[in-house]
Amino acid sequence: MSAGIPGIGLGGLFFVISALLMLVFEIVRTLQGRSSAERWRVVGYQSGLAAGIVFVTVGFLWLLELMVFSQVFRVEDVAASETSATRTGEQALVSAAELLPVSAAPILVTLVLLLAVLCSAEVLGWVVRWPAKARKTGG
Amino acid sequence: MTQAHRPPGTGMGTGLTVIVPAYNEAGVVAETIRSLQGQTAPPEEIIVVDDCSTDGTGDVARSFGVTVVRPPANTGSKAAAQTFALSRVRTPFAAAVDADTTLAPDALERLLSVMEDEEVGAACGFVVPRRVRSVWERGRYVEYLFAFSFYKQVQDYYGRPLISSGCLSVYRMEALLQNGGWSDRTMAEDMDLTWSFYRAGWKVRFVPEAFCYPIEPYNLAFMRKQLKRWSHGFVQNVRLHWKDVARTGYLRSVVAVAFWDATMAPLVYFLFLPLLSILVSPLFLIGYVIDAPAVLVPVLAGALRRGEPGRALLSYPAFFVLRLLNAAMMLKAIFMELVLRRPFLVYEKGH
Repeated sequence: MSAGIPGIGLGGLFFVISALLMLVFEIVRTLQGRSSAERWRVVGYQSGLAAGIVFVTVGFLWLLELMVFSQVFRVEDVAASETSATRTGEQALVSAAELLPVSAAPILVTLVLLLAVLCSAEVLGWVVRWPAKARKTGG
Repeated sequence: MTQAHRPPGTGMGTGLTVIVPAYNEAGVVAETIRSLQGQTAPPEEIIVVDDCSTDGTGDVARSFGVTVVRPPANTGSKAAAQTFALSRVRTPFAAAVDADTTLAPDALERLLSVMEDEEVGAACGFVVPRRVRSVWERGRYVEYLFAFSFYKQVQDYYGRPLISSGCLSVYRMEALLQNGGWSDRTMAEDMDLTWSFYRAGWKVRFVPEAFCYPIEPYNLAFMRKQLKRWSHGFVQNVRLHWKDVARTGYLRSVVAVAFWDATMAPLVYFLFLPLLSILVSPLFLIGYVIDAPAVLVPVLAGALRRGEPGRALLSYPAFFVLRLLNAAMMLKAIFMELVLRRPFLVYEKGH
């Protein structure tokens, strides 16, 4: 969500991940001697915000799970009714998904969507750049 | 011109000219000029483009000793009004400041400091609504606190701020002239210019310590006009620049995510959530506010830095109202621009 541009959380998750990755990039820059206290101040603040967002989101969803969802969506313990010997890999995956908290669904759906959008953007970037590269190499 | 004969608040040595496009802004332009003349790094010249106002905007500006230019006919857009003044600029830097936007006293100095890097073509600052009273102003206040405290600073770290804001930006004249000034081919000339700068290899910087205070739309009519420009402008810029954006690392991801998010938001708010809440469970209504705690973190962090946590908390619910309006306007813009292929090209002023 930028000002005037609506969103459903994809942007939020993208920038949380971007902010947390800043830590990794800045460690690399520090090891290469290209960082500074000023840069670390920015990185620390932004990754702190990102961590705060993750913390309150998980806390909020946990509360929802505890107070609302667990009362409404009672997930059967499918694992108990199956023996491990008869379960295929696919069934095991489904069982694992069913055991996840209901409140985790929005995060997982958003994460999958985000990955799909980012991959599509990378493919598009590659396609757009490809003709130019091919021309240069005579392809 | 000697120091003694220069108009008050104009400084030698900053290398900066400020362009203020104004159409019927007599009620607010005085405050803007005063804030420009009170800068710690005062501009060498302030040019107010009186775009054929009928309310005496030019006379008000002239009374402050600034340069006032008036095109032969109304230019029809902010972009064209700003470009009209460009040929008069003799300094290496130019700033565009909206006629209803005041600046913190050190805003220009802070923006000019990053222009010392010769690869930087544009720099923008932190925008905070000057008046926070109506539900729309409050919604925008929260939106800005969120975006400028978090998103924009992350974008700046990766070297790709999405927009160098139109209400206050400093530009390198070389970069501006290369681009032919501001174009009115889209309704979001600031986004158009920013993405054109990236294509040309210029850097764009966001300076969070440089504050400016525009007057935001205070009622639904004005807000709809502004959002119409912004939403159509965003879609128009994606259509216009998509190939260059796709070639630009990180910006490619930011725009892809923003476009997908903006497209899906109206469907989720106006179709999926209502249907699911009726057909499956009313609990799906939680979807409208499920991100409320997450949004609150950067908003409160930004507000605490400004000493305004009370104002932010009081304004917070308005954000969710404005978000629905954003989604409705975006849906209409996408439908008009991409489905019906009827681009919105007439600039409607509305703050």
